[in-house]
Amino acid sequence: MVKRQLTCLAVICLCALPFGGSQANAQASAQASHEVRLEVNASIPVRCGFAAAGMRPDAFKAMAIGSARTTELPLDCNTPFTIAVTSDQGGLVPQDITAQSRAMGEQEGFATKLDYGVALSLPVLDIASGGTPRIVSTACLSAADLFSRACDLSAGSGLSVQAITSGQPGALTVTLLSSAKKPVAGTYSDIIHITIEPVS
Amino acid sequence: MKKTSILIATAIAMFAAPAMAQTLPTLTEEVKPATQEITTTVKPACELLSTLSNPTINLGVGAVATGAATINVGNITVTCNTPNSSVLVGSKNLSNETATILQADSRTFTSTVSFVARVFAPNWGVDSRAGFLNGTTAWPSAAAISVGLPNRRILNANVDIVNLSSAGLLPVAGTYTGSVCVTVDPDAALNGLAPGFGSDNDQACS
Repeated sequence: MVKRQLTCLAVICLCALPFGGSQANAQASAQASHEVRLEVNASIPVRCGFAAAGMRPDAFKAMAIGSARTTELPLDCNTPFTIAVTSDQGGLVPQDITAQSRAMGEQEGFATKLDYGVALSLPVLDIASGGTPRIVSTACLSAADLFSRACDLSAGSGLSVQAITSGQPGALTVTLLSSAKKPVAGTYSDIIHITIEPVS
Repeated sequence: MKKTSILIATAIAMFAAPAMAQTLPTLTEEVKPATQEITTTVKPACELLSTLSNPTINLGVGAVATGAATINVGNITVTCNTPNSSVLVGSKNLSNETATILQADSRTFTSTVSFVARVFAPNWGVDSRAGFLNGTTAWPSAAAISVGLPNRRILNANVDIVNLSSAGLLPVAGTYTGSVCVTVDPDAALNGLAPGFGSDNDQACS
C-alpha cells in the first residue's frame, strides 16, 4: 500500500509572561522559557478502484444490434491512475454453434463475429490546475482493437489520467455495430475487463 | 502542560479534517478489475427475393392439357441464417371459375387444369434437388414440399410449372387462373415443415 505522508513540525513556545513585574523579573522569566517541538505525521493512503455501488453486471446483456447502452462506472482514485479495457474474444461470438457450423457459416458468407465499440467518459479533477473539473473521454471503435490492444484504452497499461476522480461516476458506453454480412442465428457474447490502477 | 495538550489536539484536527469532510464511496477491492458481459441474440430468419410473375399459358383449343414443357414462373433467392431452414413450394390449380359445365358434359370437359410447381436449383451442388407438389392440393397446404437447406445457405433457384394435366378431359374455353407460392421458413424443422407458421417466414406468390 502506497502512502503519502504529510509532516508538520509544530513549534510551541510556552512563555511565562510577566504581569506588571519589573524588567529584571522579565529577563529572568525569559531565560526560563521553554520550546517544545512536535512532529505530526498524517498518512493518506492511495485509494484507487471501483466503488461497489453502481456497478450493473447486466448492463450490456441482450443488446440489439446497432444499439448503444451506457452504464455508470463509479471510480474512486485520489491519485493519478491508468484505466484499461480489454476484450476476451475481440467481438461477440456465438456460443451455441459448433466450430464446424461456424466455419460453414463463414464459408457461405455469413458473419460469425459481431463487432462493438467502447467509449469511456470520466469526470475528474485536474491536479496540475489545482483541482479544476474536466472530462477525460476516449473511445475504442472496434472490439478487435481491444483484443489486440491497439487503441488507447487497451494499449500498454491503458489510458493514463493525470487527475483524480471527482466523486461523480464515469460512464461506460458499448455500441453494438451493425454487420455488413448477415449474422448466423445464435446467442453471441463477449466479456470486457475494466482495470484501474494507481500511477506509482 | 494543559495548554500543550490542547495545541496538539488542534494540530491533529487540522490534518484530519479534510479527509473526514469527503464523502467518497466505499471501495471494494474484489471488483478490481471489473468485468462486463456483452450479449446479443440473432434470431433465425430467412429472406426471400423473388421475381415470380404470372405467365400466360396457352392450353390449346380442343386439346387435352398434357403439357410436358417447363414453364418458368420466375427466380428466387433465399438467404437463411440457420441450418433448420426450408424452402416450401405450393400451388393452386388453374381453374376457370366462370365456366359452366353441363352435367352431361362433365365426362368430356373440365374447368380445372392441374400442374406441378417445382423449385429447381440446378447449380446448388450436392444439395441440389427439386421439390414437387401435386397441383391438386390447394395452397396453402400442409402437404407442401420442402426443399431443405442442409445448412445456412444462399439458394438461387428457378420456380417452374411442369406437367400440366386436364386428366384426359377437354378444358372448357376461357381464362384459367392459379398460383404458385414459395415460402422460406427458418424454423421449418420445428413446424413439421408446414408453411405459414412462425413470424419469421417470408413468402412470395405468383
